[in-house]
Amino acid sequence: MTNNLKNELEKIKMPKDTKERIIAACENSVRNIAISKTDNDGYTDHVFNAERIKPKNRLIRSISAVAACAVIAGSIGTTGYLINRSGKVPTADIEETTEAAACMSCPFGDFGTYDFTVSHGQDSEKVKYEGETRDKIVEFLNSFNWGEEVPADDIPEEVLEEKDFDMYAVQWIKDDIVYNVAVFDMGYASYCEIPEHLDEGEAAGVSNVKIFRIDYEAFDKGMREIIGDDTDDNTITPELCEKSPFTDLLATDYEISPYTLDYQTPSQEQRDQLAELFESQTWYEFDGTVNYYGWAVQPNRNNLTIKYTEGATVTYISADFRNTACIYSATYDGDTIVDDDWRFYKCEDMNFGVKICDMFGTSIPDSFRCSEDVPVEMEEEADAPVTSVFEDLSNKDNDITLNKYVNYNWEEEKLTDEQIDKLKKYFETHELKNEDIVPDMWRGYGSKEFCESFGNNFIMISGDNTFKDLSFSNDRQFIAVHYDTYGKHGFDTKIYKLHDADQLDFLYEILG
Amino acid sequence: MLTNGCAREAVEKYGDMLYRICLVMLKNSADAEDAVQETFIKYVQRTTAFDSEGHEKAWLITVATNKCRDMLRYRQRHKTEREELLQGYFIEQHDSGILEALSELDEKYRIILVLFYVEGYKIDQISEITGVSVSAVKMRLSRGRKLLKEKYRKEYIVA
Repeated sequence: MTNNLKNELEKIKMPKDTKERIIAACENSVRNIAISKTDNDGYTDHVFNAERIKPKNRLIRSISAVAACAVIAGSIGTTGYLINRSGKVPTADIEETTEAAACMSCPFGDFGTYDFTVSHGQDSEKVKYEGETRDKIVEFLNSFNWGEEVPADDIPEEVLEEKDFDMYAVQWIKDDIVYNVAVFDMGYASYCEIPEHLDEGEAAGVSNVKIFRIDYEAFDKGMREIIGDDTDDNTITPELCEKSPFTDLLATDYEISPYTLDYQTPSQEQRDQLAELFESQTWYEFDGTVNYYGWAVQPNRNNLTIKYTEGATVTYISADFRNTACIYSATYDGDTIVDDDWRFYKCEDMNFGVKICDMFGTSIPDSFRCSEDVPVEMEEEADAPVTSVFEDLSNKDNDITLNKYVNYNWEEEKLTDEQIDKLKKYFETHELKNEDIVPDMWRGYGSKEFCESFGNNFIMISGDNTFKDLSFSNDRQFIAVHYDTYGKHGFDTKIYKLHDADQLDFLYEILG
Repeated sequence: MLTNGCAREAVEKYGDMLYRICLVMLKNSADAEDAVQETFIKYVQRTTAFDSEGHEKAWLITVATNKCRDMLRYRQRHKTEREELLQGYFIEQHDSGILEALSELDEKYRIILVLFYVEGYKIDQISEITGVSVSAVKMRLSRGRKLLKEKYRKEYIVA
């Protein structure tokens, strides 16, 4: 939801003519003040007189500042090094040291003479390699083909605006100057020098910026062979199913919500068509609880929902607009789930869900339809797991509060040390696991249905890097963790089966 | 960071962001344009340099939100201002339920949600920008997102 909010709001742009009007108003305002200053003081105060910096110079200043900040912060998370576009930065060439002379192919001198660190990835840790590994890196960097220096103006705009990129950074410090070589997966390397003690935001000291066109794949391969691949492989790869997992379920007497808010009974023709569509696909299974934990199995406009009840077991088939589908099956004893199973699948048709909409006459925007040449999305990068609740509770810097909704208002009260200790004791032995995640059967966090099941009251853990709400279902079957992913998805909610809820009697007492 | 006084560059860089914030706060495009214009006039007349780009952006947001609050207070006192519903604006232009739901929230939730989710500010930064205490920001964020979801999910369910 918060992603939608961001996406939709970012579509809003100020009308062009309004911008021009505002610019004119600002310039008039500045002119008036400047004239007034001239009249009163006999000179014009140039602070007001729109000290126009040419765009290129402005770019150098702003981006160099970003680069400088990144270095000072000990990380390089910006394409800033690349964005020296005018060639008008200080033009002194890199000093030809005796070491440099010894290594004619390397424009940065002999790395063997530098006490350098290497980092791989944005905002990653700088590592100082020693011994044999260092020797290999030196040899590799000295002999690498650094290509030709390129004018900054030759760098395409899309490269400059790219934010999601891989990179290496090699840095060393000499005489209070930080020397930086950054290699970006867009196929460029940059070099710059920055005073070690440059204040944040100060850009004037960044100098000798140079850009080279390089073969990143070759650089990456060479470095990985030496320092290994320390990045976690968090790719989810679906595995081929021998046969369609949907066949038997689609032969049952199910009800269906074809991306609508209500169930309907399909005609025999629709049942045949749907079974044929599912059967015509090649299906691949994957662990969807990692990324699709918020999947809704109640009728909704974003999913196909098929429901089949047999005795105490309810089984759902659900699909999105593209190529992902799941089967969730829960067996009940009264209202309590005693057994459940959730499996996820992908097929190779990126319009799979769209075809179901067409089949049932559900109207969808044209933008939902993928073009024929759109790549099939099979592999996915795994979302980061929820951080440990136990650790969050143990962090003395975090605030742990009970938030109660009383008389249409929220009241916040701190948990006592004793209450926190009891919570910690529970979570120390009851870590939240993906295998316990259940789909959204409550129409979303904060919905009427959710509040009916979980109540309005919750425990909030908050601190500098923690923002986590814990809600516990009244029937003691589930815990909902609503948490901040810090920039990845805004807030997310995962709902887990709650084990040994009798150990949380004290909590239910205070939650009310 | 821009050098103070560069109207065109500032408007190009921050204009859309400020316009969004003002539009969300005021729910009226004409008023939002006025608020943005007055913010930029203040900007070009400012004589003190900014410490950083972050400082500059936060300063602009603070000035714009203060201006919006002034305008909202004026509206409440005079009751003559028209309020074109934000939801009407968005339905016409974006066909989205989420902005319609946002427009139904109280202004104090709207601005916090926008700064947190759209502009990416942390809670302590929002506290500084808006002048609201950290705990109040947390509560408004928490309650705001709950209210938003309640309203949003009346029509649209998100998987």
